[in-house]
Amino acid sequence: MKFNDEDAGDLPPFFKKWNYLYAFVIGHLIYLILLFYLFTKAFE
Amino acid sequence: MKTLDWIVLIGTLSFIVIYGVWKTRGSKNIEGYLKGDNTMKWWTIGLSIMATQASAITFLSAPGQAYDDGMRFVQFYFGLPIAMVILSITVVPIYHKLKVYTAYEYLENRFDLKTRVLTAILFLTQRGLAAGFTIFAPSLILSTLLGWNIYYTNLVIGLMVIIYTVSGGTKAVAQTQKYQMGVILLGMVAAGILVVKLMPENVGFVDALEIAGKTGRLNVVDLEFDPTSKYNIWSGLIGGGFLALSYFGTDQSQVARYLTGSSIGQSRLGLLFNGIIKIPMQFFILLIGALVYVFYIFQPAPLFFNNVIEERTIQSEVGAEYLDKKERYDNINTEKRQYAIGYLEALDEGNDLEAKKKVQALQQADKKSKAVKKEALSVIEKADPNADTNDTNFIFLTFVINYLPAGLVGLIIAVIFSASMSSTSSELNALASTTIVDIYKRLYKKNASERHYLNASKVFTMFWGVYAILFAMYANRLGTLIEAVNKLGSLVYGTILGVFLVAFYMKNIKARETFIAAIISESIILLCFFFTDIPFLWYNVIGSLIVLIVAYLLKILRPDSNITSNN
Repeated sequence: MKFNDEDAGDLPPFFKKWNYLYAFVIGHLIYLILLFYLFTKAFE
Repeated sequence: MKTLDWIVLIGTLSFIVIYGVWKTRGSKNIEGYLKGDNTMKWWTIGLSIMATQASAITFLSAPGQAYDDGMRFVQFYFGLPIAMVILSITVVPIYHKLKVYTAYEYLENRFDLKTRVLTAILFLTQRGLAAGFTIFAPSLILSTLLGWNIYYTNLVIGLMVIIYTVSGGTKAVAQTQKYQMGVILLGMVAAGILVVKLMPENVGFVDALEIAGKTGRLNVVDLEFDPTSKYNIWSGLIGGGFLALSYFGTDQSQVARYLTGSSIGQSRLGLLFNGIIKIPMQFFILLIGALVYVFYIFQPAPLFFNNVIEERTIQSEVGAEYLDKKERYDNINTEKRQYAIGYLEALDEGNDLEAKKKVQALQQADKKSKAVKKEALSVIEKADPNADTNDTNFIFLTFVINYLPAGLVGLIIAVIFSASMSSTSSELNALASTTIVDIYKRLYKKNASERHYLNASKVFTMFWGVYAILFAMYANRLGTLIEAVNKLGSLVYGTILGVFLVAFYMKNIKARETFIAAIISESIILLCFFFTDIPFLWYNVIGSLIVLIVAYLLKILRPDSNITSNN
């Protein structure tokens, strides 16, 4: 699987590189799972 | 429904249909009609992807699921962001660079014509049936709870979708979906606020969460690896990711949404937007269901939410038995109410011991009420062995109709219509694209004018719209065969995914091996369907794995397989 920014000039508006944006999406998922886990535990 | 509800409902739906027709009039070629001239920005693509996935059943079923079983269903979506990233990296650039209209067009590029046509036909078979069901399912619930004629409800939903989808094509689908998502989010936020407001005075939002949590309704994350459990973090990440990969990567109703992007970047952003927003949205919808459960602790809760089936049971010879269960259920609910109030009071007083006692009593009462409901369901089955004993889809709408103020009921019904219309429009658009691009233009009429293809696209959109309405009309007579129709969808999805996985990730495998593997996979899936008891959801995994393994084995066994067939 290639992680590249072949499309010069078509970079994401929020991060400098696509890889950073992908990392943000995965990081967001991890953050949500952690948040939901704490939520579950808090009201268990 | 009150007059204000009708005004809100008709006003909202009319605006969407008229706006869709007006805003997207005048497509001159099939590129504009089927790909929206590749002008869509990421936020339109993202909302369109979300609106396509979220059918009416999503908004009817998810809160009901949280009411019954808690919020653990949200884990089903944990694999989705990972799938969005994988698709953004691998699939989106390929589709864009090849300038394909459909996902199956890529397969001819990668393999050959017969693989393209096979997968296109499998998609048309599966999605054609699903389109009818997308209209029928909410119609059935609305007609049951509101006493509407199911045939007229099917007709109204179907015709509204046909009007703007035939008129404006892909652009109309994307533009209307933005507003449909707006209506959906507005309606669900209003319902969420209202359910908290309607709780007794001394029960606030955090109090409601305390009760929901203690009765197991806030079980959002389950870390335990249990293959028999439907929803835990592992099945969500692996199974959910697998499913999202196949749905967003190979199903034309989703692929068409991000093919409209003005660039690879815009399409990627649309998918990633979905990857970020989908889980919180689903969490919120499920939370509403958990809060509705708490609401019904403080209000008389129906034993069975499908009032038509309940009434039929009461009128039957086992009616007395059912009423007995109902009385027991009501008594337990009164107990639950007392324990819940006692628990909150103990919490306020800081009396931990008393709070613990009340929680245990509340949990016991909840278990008892579940047991009584189970008994009541057997009584319903005794009255009518063919009765659908799953009332999950009726829970949220029953709450809406009975407790929300005038105007908001109309808005929530508009949410249901909007969700149904947004999914159906994507399906009709995708069915028409596949029919025209992969079958009609490729096999029958190769060199006609742009005008001819544009008109043919409109005719095929209309055809699939009428087909969906007719199926929805007929579905009412199918009864329990509806599940068989869903199974039929699962019969083909695994094979399609397997073919695409080979195409994307096994570059040294050619057309011949893949086509034979697809035929073998489909045959084995059919054998599983007719001769085994394997649950049909597993067909997706089995089908795709068979394609991957058989294609690989054929590649090893046939060293001359580099010679691909010509078309």
